[in-house]
Amino acid sequence: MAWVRARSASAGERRRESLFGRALRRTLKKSKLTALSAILTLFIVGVAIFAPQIAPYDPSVGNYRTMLQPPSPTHLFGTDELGRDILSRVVYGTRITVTIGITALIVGIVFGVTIGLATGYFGGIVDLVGMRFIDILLSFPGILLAILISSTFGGGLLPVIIAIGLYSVPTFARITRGSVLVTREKGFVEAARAIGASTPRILLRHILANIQGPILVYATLRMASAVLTTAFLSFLGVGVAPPAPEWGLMVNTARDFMRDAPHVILFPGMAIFVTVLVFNLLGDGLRDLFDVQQR
Amino acid sequence: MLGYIVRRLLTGVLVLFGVVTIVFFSLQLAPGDPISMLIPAEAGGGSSPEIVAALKAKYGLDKPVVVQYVIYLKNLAKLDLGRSISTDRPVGEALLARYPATLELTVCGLLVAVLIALPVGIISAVRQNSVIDNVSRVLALATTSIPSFWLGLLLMLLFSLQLRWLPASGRAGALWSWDGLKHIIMPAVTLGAMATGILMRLVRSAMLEVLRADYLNTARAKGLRERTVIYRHALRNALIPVVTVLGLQVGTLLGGTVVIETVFAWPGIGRYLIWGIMAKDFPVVQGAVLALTLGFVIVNILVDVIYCAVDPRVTYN
Repeated sequence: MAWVRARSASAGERRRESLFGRALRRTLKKSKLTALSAILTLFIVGVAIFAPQIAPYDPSVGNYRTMLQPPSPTHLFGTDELGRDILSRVVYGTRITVTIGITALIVGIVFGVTIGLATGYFGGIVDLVGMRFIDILLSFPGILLAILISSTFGGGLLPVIIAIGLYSVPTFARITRGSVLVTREKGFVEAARAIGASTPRILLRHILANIQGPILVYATLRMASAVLTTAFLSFLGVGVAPPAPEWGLMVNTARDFMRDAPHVILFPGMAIFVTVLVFNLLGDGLRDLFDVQQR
Repeated sequence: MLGYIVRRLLTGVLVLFGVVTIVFFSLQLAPGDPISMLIPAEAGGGSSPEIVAALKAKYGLDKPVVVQYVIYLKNLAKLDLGRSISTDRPVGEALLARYPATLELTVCGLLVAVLIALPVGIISAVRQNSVIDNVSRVLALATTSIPSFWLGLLLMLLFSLQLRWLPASGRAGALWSWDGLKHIIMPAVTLGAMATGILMRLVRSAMLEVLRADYLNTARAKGLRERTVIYRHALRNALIPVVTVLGLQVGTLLGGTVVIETVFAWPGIGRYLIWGIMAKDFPVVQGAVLALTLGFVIVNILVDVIYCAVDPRVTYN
């Protein structure tokens, strides 16, 4: 009997996966732009993983004889004010950006989704307290909160991750809460309650499993925002500390030289722009796929 | 209505209290203290324990954190934001001197965003899937994705360093003077770009939704000109969600001023905040964050209140 149940469950999962896969394939076929952005996302992640193999030079080693050289076959993106190869620094910068983006998203999702699940499912005083806390976080003009947290904990990767993660918490909390409010009234949740499923099981296996779509969409869109915020913080001097090849930091340290060598700000800025554009395109495409609206 | 406004004001005060509390305690967690920033170790005799203790006592930093918090709240109730540890000048005075610059920049940035987003969004919706629509959608996506500090530097590179048409940084005189106008063009365009994309997309989608409504067919059927149908009937209804998002965008722009003021050396609160952070000047950071958040809270209350004027279906109950 147990074997039959296990078999039918796995068949159900396969069916669900194949339905999802089919919908994804259909959308990607319909929207070539979304397909292209998905490929470019993989490319960006690939660059981050294989940075040491891709970068032609050591990103931290300068050469005073090759300072501020314009783009050339030896240095495709030129060199910076310390003679470091800008292409290699941009490539290694992808690693920093992707690491911060993904880790910060995990922080944001873990805290945001937990608050959203609790406030949406339990309601009452939990909802009141949780959402007032979210309202206070939302009443900060966005980036101010990130600046405050990042500068509080000093420069470095971890403070930036915490800053951007907490900055994303309100968004995920609200999306999750909205989705939970709709899902908890559905028949299958009632059924799970009726057969005596525990609250954590209902929350994780039934509700969370059914609201993954909106969370995934906003995770992609927040990734774009995370890349931008990382660059903002480093540009302002409260993010990743020098001499790390972080894109915003590269623009900030090189801007004094842009009159004579415009390429020093051009390529790192372009890297931020393209990466944010790709994540925004992917997020928009996925939003159309799941037909998500923020509640 | 009066009851609603009072309720919103009370919520606003509660939010500000929350913000003050979060900012105060998070600054206490920061490594290093303002006094050590004021007297670096290299200063030799200047960093004697007696002097450090005297300075800590002067700014109340020798007291327990909770006591400091209560004193700060008491002073805040008297609108006293304390004195800057670096300059020994009242923070409130410094903020008041900088508020016009930030306000001017935010309003001009918002104006740029609205002046671009509204017409482009309307044309984009009316001529859906045309070349203009596609170009505007690309423009919306680009402005949402471009890092504002980079856009600012590119504008500076082109219009100040290459063409020499506009001054690269600073603020000069009144906005209505030629010099003042020239100084604000680039910062306002850069700041406005941060909100343009979102507004443009919103105007387009709101218009598209309204354009399908039955009452527009009725308006056309009774022989109204297309221009009247779009501007009098469609746009007024499409503006309702736009007003709400406009309020939220003020928050984005107020936060954005921190970056833009740094790029263009604009003497506003955002730049003062970054200076305060670098100097670990707690009263300055607290005051500047509070001032920017206050602006955001006031705008949101105003948006909620004027919402009723735009949409008679919304009531305050």
